[in-house]
Amino acid sequence: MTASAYWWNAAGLFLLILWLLQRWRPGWRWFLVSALGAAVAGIIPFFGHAPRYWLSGLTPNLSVPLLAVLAASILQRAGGGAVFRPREWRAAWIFGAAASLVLYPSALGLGLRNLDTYSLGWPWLESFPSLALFGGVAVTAAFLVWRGNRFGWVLVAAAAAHLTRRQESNNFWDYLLDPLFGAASLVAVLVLLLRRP
Amino acid sequence: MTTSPVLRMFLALVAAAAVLAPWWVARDEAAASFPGFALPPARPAADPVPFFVSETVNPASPEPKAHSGTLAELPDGRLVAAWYAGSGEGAPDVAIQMSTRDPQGEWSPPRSIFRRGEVAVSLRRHVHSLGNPLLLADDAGRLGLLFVSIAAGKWSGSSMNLSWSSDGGESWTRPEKLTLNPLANLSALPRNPPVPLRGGGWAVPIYEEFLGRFPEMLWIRPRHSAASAAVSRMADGMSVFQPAVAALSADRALAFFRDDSGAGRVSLADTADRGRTWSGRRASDLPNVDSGVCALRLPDGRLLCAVNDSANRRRENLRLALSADEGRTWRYIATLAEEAGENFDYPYMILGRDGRVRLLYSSRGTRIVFAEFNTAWIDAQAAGHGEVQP
Repeated sequence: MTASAYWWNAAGLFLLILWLLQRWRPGWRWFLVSALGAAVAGIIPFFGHAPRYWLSGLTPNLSVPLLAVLAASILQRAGGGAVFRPREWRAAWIFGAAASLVLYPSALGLGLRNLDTYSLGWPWLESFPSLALFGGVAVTAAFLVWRGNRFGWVLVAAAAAHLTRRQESNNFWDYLLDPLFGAASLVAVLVLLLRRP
Repeated sequence: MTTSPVLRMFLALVAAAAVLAPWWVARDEAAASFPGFALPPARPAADPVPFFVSETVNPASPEPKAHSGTLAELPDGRLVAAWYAGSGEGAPDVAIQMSTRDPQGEWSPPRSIFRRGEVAVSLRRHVHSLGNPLLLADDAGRLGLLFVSIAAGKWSGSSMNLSWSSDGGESWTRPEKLTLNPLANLSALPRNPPVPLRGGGWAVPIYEEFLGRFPEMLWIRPRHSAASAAVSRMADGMSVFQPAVAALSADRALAFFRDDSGAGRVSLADTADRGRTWSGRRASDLPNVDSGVCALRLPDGRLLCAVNDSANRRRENLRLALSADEGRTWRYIATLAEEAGENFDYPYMILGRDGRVRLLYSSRGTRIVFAEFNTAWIDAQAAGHGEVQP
């Protein structure tokens, strides 16, 4: 694991623990206490290993959108204002749910014999088919940015992280989506649909 | 804050260009994708005298489990074998072991080259166990080793790692994790020999074993880093896995799949576009009750396949079958091992530079057996056997 991938996951674990601790109460003071708690919790050995060892073994690549929604949620709960407005939250969840439906069934062996949607994330393997993924994300990002939706820049950040290989994976999908963000997005979209008048 | 339409349009174009940048950077490389299979070079004149030898690679190993052997030939004629050994499949004490056979035919004592603890430190993550090694060898004598590390549970919790050696396996680089699956990178495993590619690199038949089982091709580029690995799909469905691939030409290859669907036959599929796409599966005449198969193309174009032909899942025999018509019909030519109540499985075959076939298999779960034979021996065996009955 490269140093950048290691610290990427360490940062992801810190945000996850901080987000959980912050559920207790809002505000800057509790944010600082929670941040200290998350930093300590991240280094306390758990069954012989630091928690980041376990996280790297079980969820090796945390996506950029997951880190973004965690950071936005943490800052908003700390009192930092609406980093993500309702339209950004909607865009994040709809993107995550749609991407999950495209990616995960194929990864489980369902779908077409000669098409694994995950392989579209390696542009050097097949450039033209992978344009479907990169082009789709580019159009989505451009549309969101044109509409003033900040989630568009999160997608741009994911592409930049992929280009500079910040994670262990070199597949674009792993910068856009991970199982945690995918599951959260599917639940959130379901809730959005059920709450629609 | 409101922004002008012109500025918003400009920012949107910048965003689209930024997302497309990684694709643009990689698009030239894609022109070299699927370069075609490299067939073995012309062989020396065939030895007219039948030759066959069989020996145990790890005769004195104390581990109660030794399995999944892999074999490679170095340019100086030495053979390198690797397998996993420990107290049982998926046990924490499993190590990747290696032995070298010198040109005089002596195997070195097995030694552990990767253990769980060292791999966990290198990968900076929890590792529960190790398994399924697979050797890659290039013409310059550099060895690659793919092996799985299990994060939790058994094989479904595995992922693949890659390490390199420039001194014939004496020392190895720190293993790198390959990310080959979006679901927590779980369940990719190698099993059968890699197919060398034109211009360097390998097509390695691998499989997924998470919720469904299906075969894939792992493409490893010659620049020898994790950044050069990607996978493509070989078959749909949930019941064929552990593919073995025999290259028939630069463009064509035949894949053999282990089948646990209950069909009782080895499944086959073809590619005619250098492995990019594969035909639908069809049943062969070869028997298969959920056990690993291996196949290779002999220099004269015939196909050799090692299979279990047990009516049950105990793998009580290991046979060699030969096809002269690219897999349409088969005839048994030899039984390498047979004993009621025992297991002889996981055959692994390579074609040596001298045209001889080298084969490894697991015997009784504890021993790795090596066999070597030439085409004269194959012809002599074929003369005395009939066709496999479908």
